[in-house]
Amino acid sequence: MRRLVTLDRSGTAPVARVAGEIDLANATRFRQELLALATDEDDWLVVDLTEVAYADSSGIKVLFDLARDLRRRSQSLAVTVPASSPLRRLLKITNFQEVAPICDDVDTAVELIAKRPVND
Amino acid sequence: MRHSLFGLLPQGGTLPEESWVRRHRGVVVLLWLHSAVIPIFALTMGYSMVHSLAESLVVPTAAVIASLPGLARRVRTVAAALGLLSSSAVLVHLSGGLIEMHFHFFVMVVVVSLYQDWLPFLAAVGYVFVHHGILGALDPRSVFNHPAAISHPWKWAAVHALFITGISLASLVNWRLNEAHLIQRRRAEARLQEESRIVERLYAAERRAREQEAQARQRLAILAEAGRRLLSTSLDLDAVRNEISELVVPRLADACWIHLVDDGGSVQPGIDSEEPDHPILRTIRSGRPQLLQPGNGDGDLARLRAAINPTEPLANAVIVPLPGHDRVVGAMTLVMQRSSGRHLHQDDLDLAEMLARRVAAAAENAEEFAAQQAAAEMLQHSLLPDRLPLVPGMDMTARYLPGGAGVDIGGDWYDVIALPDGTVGLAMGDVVGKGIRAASLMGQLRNGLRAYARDGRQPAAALEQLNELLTDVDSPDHMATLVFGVFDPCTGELTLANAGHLPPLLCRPDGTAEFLQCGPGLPLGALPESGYRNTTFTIAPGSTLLLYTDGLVESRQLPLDDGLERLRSSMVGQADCSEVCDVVLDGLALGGTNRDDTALLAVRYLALGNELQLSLPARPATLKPLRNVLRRWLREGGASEEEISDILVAAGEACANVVRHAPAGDPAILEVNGRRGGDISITVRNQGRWRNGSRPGDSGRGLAIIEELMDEVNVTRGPPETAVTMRYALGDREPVRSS
Repeated sequence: MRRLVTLDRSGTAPVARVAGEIDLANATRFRQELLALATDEDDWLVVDLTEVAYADSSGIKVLFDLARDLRRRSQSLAVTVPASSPLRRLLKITNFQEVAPICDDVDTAVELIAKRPVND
Repeated sequence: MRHSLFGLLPQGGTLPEESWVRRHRGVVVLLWLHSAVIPIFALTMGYSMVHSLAESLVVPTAAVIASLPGLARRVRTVAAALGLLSSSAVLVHLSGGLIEMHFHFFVMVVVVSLYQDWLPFLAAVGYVFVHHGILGALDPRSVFNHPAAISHPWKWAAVHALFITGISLASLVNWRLNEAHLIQRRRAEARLQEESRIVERLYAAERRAREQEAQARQRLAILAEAGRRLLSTSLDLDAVRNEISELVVPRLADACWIHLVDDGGSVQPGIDSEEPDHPILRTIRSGRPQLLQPGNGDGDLARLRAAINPTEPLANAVIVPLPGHDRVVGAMTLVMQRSSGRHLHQDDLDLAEMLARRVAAAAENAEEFAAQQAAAEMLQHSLLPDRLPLVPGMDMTARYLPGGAGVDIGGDWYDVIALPDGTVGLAMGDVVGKGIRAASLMGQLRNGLRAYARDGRQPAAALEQLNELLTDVDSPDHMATLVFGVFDPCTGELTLANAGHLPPLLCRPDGTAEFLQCGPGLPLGALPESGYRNTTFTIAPGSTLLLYTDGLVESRQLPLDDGLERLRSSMVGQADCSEVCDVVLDGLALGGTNRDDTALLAVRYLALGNELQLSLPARPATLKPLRNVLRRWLREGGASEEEISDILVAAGEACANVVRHAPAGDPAILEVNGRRGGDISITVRNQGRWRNGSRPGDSGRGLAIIEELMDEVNVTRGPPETAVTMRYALGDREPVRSS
């Protein structure tokens, strides 16, 4: 199976790029792949959902859980979703911004992280 | 060897029994005659009755003694002789020494010589001498009747003696000649008998030899016939049993059973291998033949009868092992029933052993062939897809017909691959060659294609990679044709590339059909670095695509072009893919038993109307194909991309709920009905039973999401079913707010 998530460490913060569709069938795999990427050293993990064509509550749940798990490790999550993406709506409906910042793109996320070393 | 003097004399006592009996009887009759005649003569001579009877008494006495059956031959002979000569003496005396009466003596001596024996002869001759000598000397008048003899009895006795001697000699000579003749005859008879005995023995020996030869010939004939029959059994174990039974019964035995040991070690037809000391098992285990005779074999015969259930008790039986290459593969049992009265012998056991070798060979061949066939079938099955993937919005049917040979694997194969991005890969190919080699190549191609397709390669690139795969391998035989296409049910686009295979046939909803030609392309493995081209076709909903191999359109009777034309015309107007396949297969000439194998894949791109009805298994894997078909349906219904996104999330959420709560193991069905127009209305239902206590629509976020995205949501909770109906009005909406 093609990987849902690929890690990009080229920038200041690790960026997990997600591509494809997330639903009940692969939500668990999505979660496992994300968790595998987040190491102890990083303060922040950016999850880039630009290439995600579809996600429903199963995928959103994974993001919520990820945010919680990272916080337990004193780490923070940032999510990047273009304004036009259907996911944006979904994240708003579920009030995701309360657990992690939602940015338009990766650069914005990186800037945000630079300003805010730790998410509170 | 006798002294020459004695050799001249007769042996005596050589008369055969019936000869002596006849002569003796005659003599005795003569005695009785004399017994009657003498008294009468005496009376005529003037003697008194008493005197007559008394004097002649010696004769009947002698007759009586001679007739007594208990006495020995010699005794009776002597008695008869003395009787005869006594009658001579009495007659001479009664006649007063009448010289003519002396002739009677001579006659009697000759009669006695008929006995051809010394004792009576000497007795007779002695009697004469005694009578003439003593009686003549004492009372000459009772012997002689002329004065000269009376005055000189000795002289005249000597004269009589001389004549008696003469007659004796003559008798002796006669006797001797008779005897010699008799002895010669006897010797000749004995020789004849001896010879005939020898001839008898020779005849008997020849008869035996001929019988043995006939037996040997019969045996050879049986073995030759066995060979012939077994050849005709064409590797079928049941046929082997039947042929051998027909051959053996009733010629060799009353009944015949063949037991074989199968892979698991058990004996077929069933004998409990736990049974101790079963005669058939004994032969199988030890590999030694048995000849069961009545008497000490009775117990075994009874067990045999119980095991194989002949209708009557058994007289005897022969059990021989069936010798395979490296083990005993079974046993053959021949039995004779008591009622038939026949028996089996060592010869029959020998013949049975010879038969058994042939039977074992045939059985082993049949088993091996069956194993090969099973292996080939299994391999063939593993190379073709079990099931075609479920793609909502598409209908697919595949058929495979093996070639005529039956054992060998043909080279045709096909595959349908549900790709991660929602597109569908369709492949149809034909590998050069047959059998295990072809199968191995098919496997490689299939797996390789799947890998390349999943990787996102376009058809042409996939074919190029496969070509490299085949041309790498160092074998000139590794060639294959292949047509591979990727179909996007959302857009209706089909991208095809072809490596030397027959062009797929597209049948449009308006009934026209055409072959999809896509660029020349060499078969895979023909040339390294072969190039392939992608050609894209737009398929209208309601079209049917047919992929096939040359077995369908080409045979000895039907040239390729004709076959293709017939295929095209047969495609028009069929209801669903299964029917398409049936019609296509029926309608085309498929040659005889040596036809090539044939594969057929029919794919229909269903037209989605304003009413959508889907009934799918409620499983996670169904969700993505379901979204794909919904996406297409919504797009065709005129919804914008944003609208589609929202509706899909809502519908997807409702469907995910159903799947999440579907009980495992039950065939729960997810039903999605949609109606499109100005509004989009989608109802998601679940069929099937629910676990107590969990109902769909309860997952917190899910319902909130649906309600937020859609204009209207209605949830009706069962039993028996739960339905979520959502409505979305297409058209002007507020722009999506960004946060």
